[in-house]
Amino acid sequence: MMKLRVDKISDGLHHSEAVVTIHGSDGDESLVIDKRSLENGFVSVGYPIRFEGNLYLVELPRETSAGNWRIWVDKNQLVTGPEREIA
Amino acid sequence: MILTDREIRTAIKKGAIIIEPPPAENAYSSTSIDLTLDHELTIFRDDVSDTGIEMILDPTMRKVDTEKALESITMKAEIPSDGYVLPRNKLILAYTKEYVDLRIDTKYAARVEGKSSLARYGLSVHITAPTIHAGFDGRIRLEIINHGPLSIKLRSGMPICQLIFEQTLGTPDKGYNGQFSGQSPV
Repeated sequence: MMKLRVDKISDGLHHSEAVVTIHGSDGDESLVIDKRSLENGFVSVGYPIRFEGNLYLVELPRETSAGNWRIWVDKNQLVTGPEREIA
Repeated sequence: MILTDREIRTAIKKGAIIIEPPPAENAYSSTSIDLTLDHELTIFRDDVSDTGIEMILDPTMRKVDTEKALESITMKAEIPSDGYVLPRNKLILAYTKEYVDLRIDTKYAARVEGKSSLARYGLSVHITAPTIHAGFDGRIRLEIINHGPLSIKLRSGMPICQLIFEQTLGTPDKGYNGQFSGQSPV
């Protein structure tokens, strides 16, 4: 399983949510996630769907503000890690 | 394939589906679980259109942070102990009290749907976006509209929607390691 680097921008509309920026290869996108998904600046994205050179296509846990589920990111935005801990 | 109450309980027991706090026994029906309304609401401000400035939201603009745009035209509110009165034709955003986690590496997705007991008063809980994808985690955001002829009182903790779990045919790409077997993707 992989984790994607994100930057927190702000809290979301609900206290349980955070708004983060994802650094895609085509530019930044914002995404609302549950704060529990955010682990030290990373969010779990499962396994990459495809890869081409240094670019990896990953599926996000939710739709971005621009309506995208899948986004190409540079390899350096990803780290390997376990799936979210079962609470 | 829709999960029955027995399959839902088994999936929860295995940790494939997480719902916190756990649903009460009477929240189950044969093929769904009722979720309840959280006390936090997001309410669209009535004064936005009175500024003399026309505001148009273009969701296709990649640089536009729609969450920030929403924040600028809404305000947060809490449901008082005696309830929140939702007027006719009013849209609000609300949330389930329950945190839901559909594990990436399992074969479950879900749909959030309204409850017939509320629908008959004209209350809808989502606007054409009921899908909870495999891998989702968080509270479910609801787009609530009162389409009915009368105001409707919403109370924190009331059963507001139902979640119907479906088993997917196979594991989605992001939960499947096959395409990278024998190689390290990163």
